[in-house]
Amino acid sequence: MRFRAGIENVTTLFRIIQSVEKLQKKCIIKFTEDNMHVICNSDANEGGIQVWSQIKIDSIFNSYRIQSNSNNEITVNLSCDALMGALKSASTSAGTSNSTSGSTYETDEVIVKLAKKNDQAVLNFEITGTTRAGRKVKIEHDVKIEVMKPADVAKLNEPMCPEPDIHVLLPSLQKIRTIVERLRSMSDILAVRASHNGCLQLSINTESVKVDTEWKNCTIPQMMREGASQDSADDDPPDPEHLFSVLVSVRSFLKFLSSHVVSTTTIACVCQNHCLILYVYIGDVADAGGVLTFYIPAIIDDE
Amino acid sequence: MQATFDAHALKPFTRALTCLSRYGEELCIYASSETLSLFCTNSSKSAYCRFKFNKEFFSRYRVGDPAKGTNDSAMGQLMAKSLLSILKHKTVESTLERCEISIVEGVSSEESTDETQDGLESKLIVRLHCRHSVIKTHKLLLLGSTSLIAPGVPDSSNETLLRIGPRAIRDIIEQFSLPKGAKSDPQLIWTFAEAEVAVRSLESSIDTRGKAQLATELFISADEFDLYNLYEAPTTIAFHLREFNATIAFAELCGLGLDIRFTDPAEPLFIDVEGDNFETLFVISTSHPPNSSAQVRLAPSGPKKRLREDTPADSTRFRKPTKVVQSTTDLGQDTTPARIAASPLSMPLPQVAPTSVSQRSNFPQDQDVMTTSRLSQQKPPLFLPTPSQLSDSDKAVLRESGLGIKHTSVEGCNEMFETHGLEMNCKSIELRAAWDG
Repeated sequence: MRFRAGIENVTTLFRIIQSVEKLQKKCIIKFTEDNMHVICNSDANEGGIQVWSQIKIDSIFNSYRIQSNSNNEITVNLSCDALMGALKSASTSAGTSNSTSGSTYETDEVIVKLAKKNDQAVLNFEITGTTRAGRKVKIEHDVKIEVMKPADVAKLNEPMCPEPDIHVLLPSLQKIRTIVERLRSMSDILAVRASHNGCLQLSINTESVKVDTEWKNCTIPQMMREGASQDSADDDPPDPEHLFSVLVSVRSFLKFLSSHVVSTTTIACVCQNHCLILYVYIGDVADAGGVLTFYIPAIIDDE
Repeated sequence: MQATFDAHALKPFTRALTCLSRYGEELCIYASSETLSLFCTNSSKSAYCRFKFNKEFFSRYRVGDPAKGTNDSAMGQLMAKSLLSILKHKTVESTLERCEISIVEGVSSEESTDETQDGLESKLIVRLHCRHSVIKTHKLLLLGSTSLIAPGVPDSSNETLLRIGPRAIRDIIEQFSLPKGAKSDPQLIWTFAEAEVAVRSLESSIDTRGKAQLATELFISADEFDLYNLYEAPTTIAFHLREFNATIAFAELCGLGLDIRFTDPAEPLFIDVEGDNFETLFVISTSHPPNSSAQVRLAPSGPKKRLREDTPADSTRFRKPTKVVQSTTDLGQDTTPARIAASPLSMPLPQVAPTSVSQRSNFPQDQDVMTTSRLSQQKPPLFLPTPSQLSDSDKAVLRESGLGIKHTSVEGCNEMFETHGLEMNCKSIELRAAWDG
């Protein structure tokens, strides 16, 4: 089992892990020949939220070499905090004087590889950088990992979802986050509704308070349905006014919103009364550099 | 004592107080005719911090009352946070014109004629003269400190001296992702070689089960240090970061470099920071690193916590932190450490190290210097015979020699030791005398 790669885009990788760190302490990373998958599917997650993401190797790594007995795939379980600690010191502060955003050393190169230290499997990060004064500095991080057995890897499956009722392009996640943070103290359940005429609603409704926030003129991308018949006469065009809605836990929605650090475009898919799927694109949508997929199961409200 | 400083001096003074409050809770003030010292130690006495302001730092400085002929020094103890919260208040920074600090010694009731001197307590009075003729007066109760403490002066023959700017050292420490929080107390292990410095973490990113998930090691050129006088290469020392970070923060805010001195591992580390009309000294205890190889390890070893005074008494498992301070009666100069003293008779306090009795033939002089009062709280020494164990013949010998079992003085015992050659017995008796006395 061998793995070695140079990390070209440390900041993006750092932001991806930062997004999922809020969900789970540990996450699963699966390296394949072409992609890197970040998976958080713990049952203990708030509101049952899960993350399944696929990122193209080329958008993050250079000189990528992987070799293993299970189809050249390696799946590891590690602590998000530890990985972030290693990546934080690798990312250059890029001109800002904010000490929390990366190191004050100029990073020249970051190499990550699978290694074994004292009988413990680790992901070894070797960072070469330059100090303020222009001298060389070398930093090594060892992140403890647990390599998953092929049997366990086979059990990893994305949740089954029906065809979504509607897709909607979300407005800036930052703005949504500000609003949902206010809603959090008032209710546990959030209703997410969208209609084909570009209307997006986030509302709460409790005994004491009812709050509705509405965005108009959102883009409704027409997603090609797999195997869908080209004959649109089969289905009636959906009522543009009809709001498809799903109820989710406010806290899990907020956890998803922590990915605002990495998202450029986000598409929300509402599967009425079943779940909410959110595709957070990393980088340009057209490039398809990577997607973080959040699955939030619906709360069935019998009222 | 009365000292006044203006708004310009408020910043360094407040920064000093912030740093002190990160070291320990109780702050001691000592005012002599030339300087005003603020110092404190942490609860496990493994770190010490002292700020000495020259009288030139203040616009007015007066100690003692020439009319009454009182002694020329004032002293007291108070909570660092109390003084800090007064000076750090948000309106103070923008409106302060000058600040007067005075210590009013408590007087007995018969002597007091003045209302301001009420009661037996000493008070620290902080009078803030602000804009618009606003005067805010704060009175803080000053406790008399039970013992003055000062660090030992190191033996400089094998000393390593390093000088580094605060930014450079902060850059190094920032690379380590260390657990934050009141309970965490991370350590770093530094290895100084001829031309390179290696720093590694002992533990970090602890997960819920207390096992380290991340180990980090950094290699940097010795040229990052402005001055790098290494006594012997390679030298490896380890110390906790909590207080060190407070020192670095202070130095960075004031834009001052740090002079770091240390000798052997397990001898304390001294940091000097000198500024405009003030100098500071920080002493942090160090320890032998648990693993001397430079290999990075992620072994499942639990975190090594420093002993705080409130930890439970099964302290035998932990390595006790070296105490960096000792009691002294004279704060005018730092006391010499036990090791340098030529003869035991010249030492101010009996030095007792129970565990080393059998190893040393002369009076034990150990690094763990403690006052006798603290000694009584220690676990019992390993080699002390109880009265019942002292055989009858031993007791008879003692009585014959004229020494009582209880009241032997250090000097008397030593004399006896030399003249009578009663080696083992003498030591054990002497120990018990100190124990009981």
